Amino acid sequence: MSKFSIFSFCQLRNKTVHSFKNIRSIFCSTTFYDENKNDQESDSDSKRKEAKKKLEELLVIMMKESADSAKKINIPKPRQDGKQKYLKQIEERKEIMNQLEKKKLSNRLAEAATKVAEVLGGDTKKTEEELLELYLYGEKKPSSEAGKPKESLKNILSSMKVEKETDNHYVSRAAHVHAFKKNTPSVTSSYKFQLQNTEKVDIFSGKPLDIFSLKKDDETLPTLDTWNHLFERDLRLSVTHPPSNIFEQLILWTEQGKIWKFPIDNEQDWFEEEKVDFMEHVFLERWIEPWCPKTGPIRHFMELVCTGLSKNPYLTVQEKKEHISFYENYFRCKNELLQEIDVGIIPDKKSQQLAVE
Amino acid sequence: MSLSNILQNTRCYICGLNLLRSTEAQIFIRMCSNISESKEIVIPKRIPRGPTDILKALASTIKRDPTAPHYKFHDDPYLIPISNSSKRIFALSQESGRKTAMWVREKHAELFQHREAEPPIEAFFPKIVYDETDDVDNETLAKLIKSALISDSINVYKLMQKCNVEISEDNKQALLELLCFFNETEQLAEELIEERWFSRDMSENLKKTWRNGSYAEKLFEELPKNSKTYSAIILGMLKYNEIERGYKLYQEAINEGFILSVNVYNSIIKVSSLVASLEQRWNFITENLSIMNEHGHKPNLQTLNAILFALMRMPKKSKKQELALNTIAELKKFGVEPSLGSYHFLLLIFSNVQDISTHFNILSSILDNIQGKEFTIRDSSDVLFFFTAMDTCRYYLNDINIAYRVNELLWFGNNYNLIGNSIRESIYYRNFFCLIIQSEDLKTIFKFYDFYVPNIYTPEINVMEELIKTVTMNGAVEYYPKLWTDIVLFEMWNKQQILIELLRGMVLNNVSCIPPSEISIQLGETAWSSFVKNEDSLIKTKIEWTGEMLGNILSLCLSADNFERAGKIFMKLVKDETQIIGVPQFNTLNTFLDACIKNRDVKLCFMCIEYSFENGYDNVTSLAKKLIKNINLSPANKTHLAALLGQEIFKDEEELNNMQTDATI
Repeated sequence: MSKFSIFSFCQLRNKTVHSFKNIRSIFCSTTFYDENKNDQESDSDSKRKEAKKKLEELLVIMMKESADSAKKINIPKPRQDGKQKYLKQIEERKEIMNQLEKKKLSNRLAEAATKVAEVLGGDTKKTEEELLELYLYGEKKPSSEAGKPKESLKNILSSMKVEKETDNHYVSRAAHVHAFKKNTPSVTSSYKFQLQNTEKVDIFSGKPLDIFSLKKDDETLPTLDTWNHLFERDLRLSVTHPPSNIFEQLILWTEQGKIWKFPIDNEQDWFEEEKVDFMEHVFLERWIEPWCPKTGPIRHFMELVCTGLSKNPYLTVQEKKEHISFYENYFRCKNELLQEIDVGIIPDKKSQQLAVE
Repeated sequence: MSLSNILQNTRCYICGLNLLRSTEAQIFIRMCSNISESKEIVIPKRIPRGPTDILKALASTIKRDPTAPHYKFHDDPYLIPISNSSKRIFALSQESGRKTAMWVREKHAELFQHREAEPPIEAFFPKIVYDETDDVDNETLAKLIKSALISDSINVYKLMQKCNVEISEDNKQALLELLCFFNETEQLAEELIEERWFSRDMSENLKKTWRNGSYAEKLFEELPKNSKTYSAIILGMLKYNEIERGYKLYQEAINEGFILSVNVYNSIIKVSSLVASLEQRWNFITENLSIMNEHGHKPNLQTLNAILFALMRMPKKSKKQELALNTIAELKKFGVEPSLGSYHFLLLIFSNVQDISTHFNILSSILDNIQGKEFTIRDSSDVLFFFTAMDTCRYYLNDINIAYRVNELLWFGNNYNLIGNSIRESIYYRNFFCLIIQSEDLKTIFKFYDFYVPNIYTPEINVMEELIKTVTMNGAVEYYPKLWTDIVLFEMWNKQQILIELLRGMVLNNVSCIPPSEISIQLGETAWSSFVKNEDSLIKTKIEWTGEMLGNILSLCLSADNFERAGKIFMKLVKDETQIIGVPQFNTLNTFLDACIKNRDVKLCFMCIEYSFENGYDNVTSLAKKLIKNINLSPANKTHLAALLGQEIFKDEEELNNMQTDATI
């Protein structure tokens, strides 16, 4: 009964839940250990080893538990700025003050402990002693376990301390870091300089030099056109970077004159043809009208020639005309033959001109 | 039946249509009434569009996709470059191909008789070679000068002289300007964008590179002395740091009463630090500005930047900061807005190591002024701004927030074009990343890392090293495998300092437990791959393994419960003992011996003890005792051990045996 009450008292003193958890788990493990102690006297070495192994396993489990519970561990932080150092100093000073106060408090605490022991009943003296020892535990380390009664709280706690220390050795810094990391933001080495004055500089606040006088543009001033052109070229090239998408590539190609310009104009760069109307290209029948027979195979053939030529974009109008006149002359040379097979003849140029007139 | 049906349907349809029409009409009427109430419709005038306007509008809709490689690289997983060197090699190889094609076109023009298009495209013409048989005229010369073809221009000019063709004065002047501008050095063809992007620019070169007795000088002597010829030759000399002669000519021209081009005054101011003494420098500048004013010139942006450049070169104690602000105010009167280049000079003028606040203030005021604005290039110094701003953020201010603002500006609109070239870009990102690594938490760091790396930026070795250190400091074990993968991709797996940091960090943050956790296995895998990758590589400069590195790999393999690999690492340690600097930690050997004992590998146990003995560890005996305790050694082994460490190590065991025998007796 008394043990339980002490337990709850200890919980109250520590106030935080996780320490309670720790103590509980350690409490269990130490009782286990005590049992082993009892056995050890009678059993052989191998059993002792087995027990030790078991204990170790238990400790591993325990460590995992403690890692799960968000336990705050002081790990070394990489860099601390002035502010943190200052805070640290304040905390240290506070601690010293606390310790001084504690010394004064110790008398009062002793009184309180006796009162509690009285309320609890049973072996009042023993309870009181244990309570005070628990309080002192924070300041003094337990001197030795030997010679103390097995069931005393102090014995349990002191054994706990020893076990834990050996365990820490195995786990290394990393385990702490992992436990620490789970609920705390990551450590950074950020530090900022102290601004001496934070007044902004107004870039346009200066007083003008008053060297130049306002005047109109003077056209007679010498300008180096080629130099300026080359300067512009240099500027343009210094921001012409490898194109970063297909459209930029197309822009570049357009500027280099390698592809069609937008909007698409299929007469792009046909400067000569700009003077010529499209009708001249398309309606070519009028050039066969004066000499070609009205009907018959020659007519048929020449119409086909005209259609073909009207669709040809590669010839100029002059070339098309020459093409037609070539046939005209050809057929004229064959006039005799044409007469023989009766498909109509091609009139002479002179008579042609007369007809036109 | 069917017919009547159809008719009915049609009627319905027509009715519906009528109904629709009526509602439409109503809406129309309502709209009309609205219009009559409000103002007249103003039909906007047709905006004439240039040939690239539509393309520019389309291009502006595409934002840079950080998950995709740059457009210039083949979108093929096998051909996507990741490391800095491969990016360079891939891009320049492509350019080299282009150059080869041009060469073939030039050398074997007869093979390309087909017509690409009608009318033919001038850009695809073979290069024209001019010789005596050609008719060369002023038009050809003007065209050549305009396209900045230096040797061709000189060639044609000489030909024309030879053939007694009269050369126009304009062309002579233009040729002189061309020769002075480029100092008669042949320029990189405009089309070779990649080469320009990767080249080191020499604009900041202060060496004299002007060619004495060049053709330009001869031409200057031939031509009549006037303000234009003077201007051209002075500009050329000053541009290529022939200060002395340039300045002499300038004085000569001024004394003779020539009014020079505005560029000349700007250039003279720019080189004032090389002409005037420290005390006289500002006076020199104001004097020349007054001459400029007298001659009727208006200052322009180049004037502003030249003055700021000269002020930048002034000593710290001078009033240069005040003078700079005054200059900007003066130029503002003439409607000259500072360009990014001016801000670049301003930053340098305000840099002060003792008092960071002025530096901080100027950068934040500049950013206040230009935040959210889009810039086009106006001066050649404009491309230096982002580079300088980030440099200031990292080295002087150490402030991540202002760096974010600079970065935001860079990514705004088309401002990215002003990054300069590939070298400046990578230095910009190097500074940016170092700052992020220094001041942000790991989550943010990797947010940025995942965004920029590897398609926009590939970290350099020192940045990677910093990153690994930060991961180590935060104990973020899960990042190591990812980092190693990236290190391999960045072709840094054979870099000593990277490997040392990585292995050290992994060992420091590894939690060994039985059975090994998943992360331990991964770390073991990473460490092993770092070893194998370096051992199997065929490159000549191999990594110099140190004892610590190998020890770290060994312990990582052990914690991943891979005894076989650990054994191989240990064999490497033993085999190359003479070449490996340093030894692993004793703890590592201790755990290795434990593993050997666990796996009953007596031979390795002995090697381990021998190795520790040879390398002079203090606690060799403890290792030996552990071995004796856990394994029944053969007599031969025992004598071996005794030979190494003396008979004393068997003492405990003998005592134990004696006790046992005593007990039995």
